[in-house]
Amino acid sequence: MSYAAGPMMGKTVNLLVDSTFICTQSHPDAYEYLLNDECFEVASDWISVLGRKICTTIDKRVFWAGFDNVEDTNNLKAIKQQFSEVVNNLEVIVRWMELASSNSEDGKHLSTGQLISEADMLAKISSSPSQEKRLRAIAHSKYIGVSTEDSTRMLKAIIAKFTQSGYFILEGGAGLKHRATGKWAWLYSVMEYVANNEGLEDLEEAPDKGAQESLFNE
Amino acid sequence: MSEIDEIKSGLSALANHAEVIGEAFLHAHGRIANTEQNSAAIKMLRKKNLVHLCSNSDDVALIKSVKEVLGKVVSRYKTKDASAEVQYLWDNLVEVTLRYHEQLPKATSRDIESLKTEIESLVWELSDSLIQSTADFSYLISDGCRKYESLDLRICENERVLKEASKLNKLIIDFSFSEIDKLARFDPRISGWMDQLIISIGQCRKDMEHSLTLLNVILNELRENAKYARLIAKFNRAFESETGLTLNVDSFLSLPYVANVHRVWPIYHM
Repeated sequence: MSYAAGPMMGKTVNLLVDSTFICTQSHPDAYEYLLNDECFEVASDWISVLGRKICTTIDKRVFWAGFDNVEDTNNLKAIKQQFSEVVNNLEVIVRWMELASSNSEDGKHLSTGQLISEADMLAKISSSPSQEKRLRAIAHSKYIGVSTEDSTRMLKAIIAKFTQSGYFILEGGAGLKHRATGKWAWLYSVMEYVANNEGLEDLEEAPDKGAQESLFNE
Repeated sequence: MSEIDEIKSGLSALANHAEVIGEAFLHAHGRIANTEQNSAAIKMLRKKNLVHLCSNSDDVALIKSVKEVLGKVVSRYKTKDASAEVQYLWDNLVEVTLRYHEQLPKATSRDIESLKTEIESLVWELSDSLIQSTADFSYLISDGCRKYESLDLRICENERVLKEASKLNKLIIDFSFSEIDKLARFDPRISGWMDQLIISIGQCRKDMEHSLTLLNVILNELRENAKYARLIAKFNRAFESETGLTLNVDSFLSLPYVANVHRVWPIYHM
């Protein structure tokens, strides 16, 4: 049995069918499998039986399953509904990204593989009233939905929400450290599209040669 | 005297004679001439074991570890001029070696010995310069251009270092081992030194290849981070503007390719 049709195929297809975002951090073996062209083709054939196809970002940081037929009314409705959830909560998500980067080592923005420590982040946020205010605004938003005033609980609730949504995985099981997944790469792609769509371009910025194509036009 | 006092005293010796040491390091391959003017410095540096006596002379030379520390101190300068220094030493080595072969049948044995000493010294200096220069680039990689907070400044610094590293790498790759070998013209002593030089160049090629790969990785990460920073800043400005930013998918003329996500309900949530 070839590697492409071996046990990794079954595991990868199952993950995709379960709507899992596959990246080097969350499922390194399945991710490596999909990076292989032959394996990608085999998995694509299997998943197409279910009316789905394998999608990825331009930089191939993450793979996931999408609808094979995006013209179908029901599929389109489902896509729009899910996309709305992200877009409608983008303000809170962006505020969190800003807060996370300003409290991370080297001011690095959230990207695949980045490790965030609740304890370190909390120590930095607690030392600044303005950061605490930002944390509170995020935690009390409809997207996170907690009412506590305790910084530790607020931060835990935020990270838990993003972990549940596939943006982080637990690191080591201690619950205090989380590793960013490739879903952030997906989110940046969404943000780039929305920024272009809403005309948020910087005047001095060169046009992005790798701009993604539209899924469809309405 | 306690160990800490010994350290303080050693560092004071270096500081008190910084002028002499700096001149020796930059312009005399670490050698300090035994002159009346330098006698106090030599006496103190010898007492602290920071120099060693040169063979066949009363002069002294800075010990290797002192030269390494000074090399680290001027690493930014050295990475800037590393390729120029290597090229200069190589040109000198070729010139002196050719002169040696030319003078061998006619010069006095004393002059021949002097030329040999000069060749040996240049070979070691060139090897040292290559090793030190590649080590400096490795140091800058571990440093990650972190002296700047601004992402744009970090990118500029990384690009500068990468450019200099590429220049040095080209020079190292361009060294022809057969040409170096031929330069010795079967003279056993010179052949021995040239073999050592070839080993050093081989090691530096490996180190530079590794450094260039890492520098490119760091640069790509910095550029990506800068791109994300601009993207987040755009949204922040829009959300905080007077008019705010209200997003409604229904108003979008199209949806991005990445919007096509099939989700299994109700276990997973976006």
